[in-house]
Amino acid sequence: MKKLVFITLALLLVFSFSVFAGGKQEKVSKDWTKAKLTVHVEAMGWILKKFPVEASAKKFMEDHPNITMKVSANADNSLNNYMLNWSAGNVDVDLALGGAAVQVAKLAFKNLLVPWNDFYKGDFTRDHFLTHVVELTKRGDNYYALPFMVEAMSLEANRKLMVEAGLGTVSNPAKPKTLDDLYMFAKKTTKGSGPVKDVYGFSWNFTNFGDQQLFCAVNDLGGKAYNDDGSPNMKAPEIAKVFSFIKRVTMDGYGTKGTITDTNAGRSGLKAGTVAIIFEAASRAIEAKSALGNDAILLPFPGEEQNGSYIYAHYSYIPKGTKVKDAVYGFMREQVLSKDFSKFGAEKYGKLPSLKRNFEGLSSDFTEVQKWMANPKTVGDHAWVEGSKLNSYIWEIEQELVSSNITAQQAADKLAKQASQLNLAVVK
Amino acid sequence: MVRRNKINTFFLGFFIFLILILFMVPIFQTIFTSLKTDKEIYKVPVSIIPHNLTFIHYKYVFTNLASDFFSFFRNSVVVTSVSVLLILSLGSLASFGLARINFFGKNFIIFFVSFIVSIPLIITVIPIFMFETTFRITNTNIGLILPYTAVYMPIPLFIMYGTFLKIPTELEESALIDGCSRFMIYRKIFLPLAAGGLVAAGIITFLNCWGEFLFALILTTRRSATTLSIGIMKINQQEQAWALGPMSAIMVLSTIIPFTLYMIFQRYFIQGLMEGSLKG
Amino acid sequence: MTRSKAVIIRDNIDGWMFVLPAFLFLLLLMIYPIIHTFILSFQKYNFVYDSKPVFVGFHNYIKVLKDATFKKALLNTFYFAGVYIPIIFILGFFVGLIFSRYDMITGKLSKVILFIPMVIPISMSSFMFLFMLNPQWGIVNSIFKDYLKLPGLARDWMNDTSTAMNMILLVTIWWRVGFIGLLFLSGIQAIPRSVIEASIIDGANAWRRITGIILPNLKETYMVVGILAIVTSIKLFAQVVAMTGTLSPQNAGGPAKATLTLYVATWKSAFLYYDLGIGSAMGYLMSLIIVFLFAVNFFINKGEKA
Repeated sequence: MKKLVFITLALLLVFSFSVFAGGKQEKVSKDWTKAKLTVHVEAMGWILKKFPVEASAKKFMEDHPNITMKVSANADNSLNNYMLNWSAGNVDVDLALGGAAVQVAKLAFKNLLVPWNDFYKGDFTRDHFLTHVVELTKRGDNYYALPFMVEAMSLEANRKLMVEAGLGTVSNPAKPKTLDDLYMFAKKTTKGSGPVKDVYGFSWNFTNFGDQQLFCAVNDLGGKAYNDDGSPNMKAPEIAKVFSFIKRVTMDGYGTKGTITDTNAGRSGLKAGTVAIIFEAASRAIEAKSALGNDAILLPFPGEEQNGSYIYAHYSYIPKGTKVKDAVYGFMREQVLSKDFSKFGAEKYGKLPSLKRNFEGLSSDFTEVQKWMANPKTVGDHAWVEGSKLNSYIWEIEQELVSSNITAQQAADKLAKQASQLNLAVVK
Repeated sequence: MVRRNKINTFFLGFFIFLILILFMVPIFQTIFTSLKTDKEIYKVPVSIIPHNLTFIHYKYVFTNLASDFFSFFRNSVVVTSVSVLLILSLGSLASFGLARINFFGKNFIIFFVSFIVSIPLIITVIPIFMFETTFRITNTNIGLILPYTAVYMPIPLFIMYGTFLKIPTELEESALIDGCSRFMIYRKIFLPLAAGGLVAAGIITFLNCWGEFLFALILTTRRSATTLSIGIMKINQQEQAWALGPMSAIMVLSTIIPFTLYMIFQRYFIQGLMEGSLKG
Repeated sequence: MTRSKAVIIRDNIDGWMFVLPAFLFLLLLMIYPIIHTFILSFQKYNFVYDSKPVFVGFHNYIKVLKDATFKKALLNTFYFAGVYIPIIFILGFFVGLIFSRYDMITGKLSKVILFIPMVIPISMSSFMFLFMLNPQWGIVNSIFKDYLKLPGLARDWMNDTSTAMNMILLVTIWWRVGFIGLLFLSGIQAIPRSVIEASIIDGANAWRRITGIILPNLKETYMVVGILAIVTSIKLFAQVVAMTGTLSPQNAGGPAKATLTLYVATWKSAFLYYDLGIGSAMGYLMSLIIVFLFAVNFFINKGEKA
């Protein structure tokens, strides 16, 4: 009797396994190499410009004549459209490119994304990527998105303006060691009189990057940007120090407030020669080369050489309801994560690859950034439950800081109090 | 005495003229910017009149931005014209009924429509968005036409109501006695007589829909589906810097149609407004 | 006149037939949403984190009323209304008056010119001003710094909390003044010619004519302009979003909430933070404010008439 049960069980097991395997096999053979498919890729507008998405799609179609690729631009950088449309079952995108961790985490929380777990194999296991930005997408056992480009925060400067102001030489521009140094740099490079200067020494980004700069600066000053559970450490004493720097440099007229209505004012100013130093993603220096040539340089933020940088990624993700997941995987493997694709974005616009092997062969512009990124103390982006609200609070406080009498310490306290009312646990 | 008056008039005219010039600065500035080279746009001091005219930005709009620009333009034209037609036809029917027929519930409807005028539109947006996603008509022209038609119905309705009220009753009565149906009276007698009010209502609706912001912002998220008034905001997102030249060119190009329409119908517009709006 | 029963029935059928299409439209796309939002305003419903709306009574309203952001938005909206309404009344009246007197070349020309802003979508008008007010390459600062040699007058107009809201006022006035002026013009022209002529014969000067005859005879215009100005103030939205939130929507209402209005705050909580319940409650509080202002407007203008 026991034998019979055992045999039945074994048979059942074999049977179910074969069904399972068969089912899986069928899925593989059904997909993108043979069946006629249409894959709709949607990317944020700037990605279409800074990466050869359209050309890759064309190439992918040539390689796989059975597949039709459709590329469109997502006109909504806040991803609201995805959140609202996809949760109503209104899915007509198969692959979305672009979105920060905190935004994509919301989509994942709402259970709108297909996990990428089975993507990470062969040449594309997780350790081939910059691990932090991949781990950031983990929710339960699932990895809900795939980073396809990475950025690191640092200072980008106009060497010509610095040398003119006596800050180092062309071959060896001076590096700020402390926030006071940076203030002095800003003061020396500022030109013009009156409430609006002709050239500003420094530009803090009061929108879009205001949070990332803050956490990077706290980390670089030797502070603890995050608590051990991954939530932000809004009580770090360094926050007040950073705030005090922002307030001083802006209120004294050496830092511009232009980024409040124009988040790109810093990088546009760097290109136009009206801003000497900005604190944003390192890619801005490469981007500015089109206007400044070799005078667009990278500088470490005070303490960055010791304490590392701050890295964040832009993600690709697949909405639930798509029927061509495997073709999307193919497109990612063959095109988006290819060397050529990465190289295009890197050399022209400074966007760093997320796949470590794609760093090979890039120009020497990136060696320093790579060093900062490799520093074990480097912190990364975040995905907290009410992260986007916190970001807005940080921007608002920073803007208030430079337009009212509030002191740096008061602002830091106010921010800590506001943050304490938010749910800032890591999205799990 | 008379001479002093004339001098006064002259100075007042001159003063008005100066103010008008100041008033026109934003428009001239935009037109001039669209005709400057990129280098000149960002050059300080800013040149008031362009040194060397160039059509490079217009060319850019019609080549690189062509697909965006034409889809914005097409959507604006389709959405606006269909909404205007719907509002004028449905609205004039309704206002005829309200103005010329005594029926049960009439006062309720008048109250109801004036109530709608007074609520802030944003409280209708959330459910309309949910409704549209359920029926999958976000990012389509219909998805904009439906809310526009509802939202911009009340004011033209009141304008036409005012115009219909003014038309003397004799015409209607004699037609009724002749055995005309109400619809015939509406079509054959009232519509031609109320042409001024209709045009005024049409222009107001046109301008409202052409420049509509809130619904277009929320209900269209794809470039191919959005209208000019929202599309202009999307241009710079691709460039990651204010694309001043192309944006100015688009502004100039997209104002040509409403401006021409306004110039053609200007007389009716002012007349119609005077007849209708004060009654609302 | 008594009507026969048949006529009454026919009138009822005809009347509803005429009204029904428009009425259905309004029912589906205005009344249903208004009711739905009303229900939502009593529910806790974060679109991302809550799977289902939960009924919470007045919790949303209490939370909104206690919220510093809402208070700031309310303050900003009232500031805007408090400055905008008087200015648009005064400017609009003068525009109307000048049109009514000078029907010469400048008069015709200015009619055309003053209405141009109306045909430009408000988002585009906002951009025109935003670009002119750019601190670096905007023409306003350039005129102050380079042409008038007064660098002290240059400002970071839109990035400064003290000037940002006034710039939004400027755009709005520029946009609306022609239309409001037209309404005043039609009001002035509706005053019987004989009344004005009689006063001229009586020897009243221009000032007396304005204060004694024209101003008191514009009651209806005041009412309409009042309603329109209130609506414009409360639904201050497109200008703010275009001028402060184009490149980063979360920043709409910046710098540091200086231009945050009720409308923008509602939009942000509903469509950026997905707090649909909170957003709906804000929307309804805003409606209450509108109703209140309409009532004030009504009683002021009614009171004068009596």
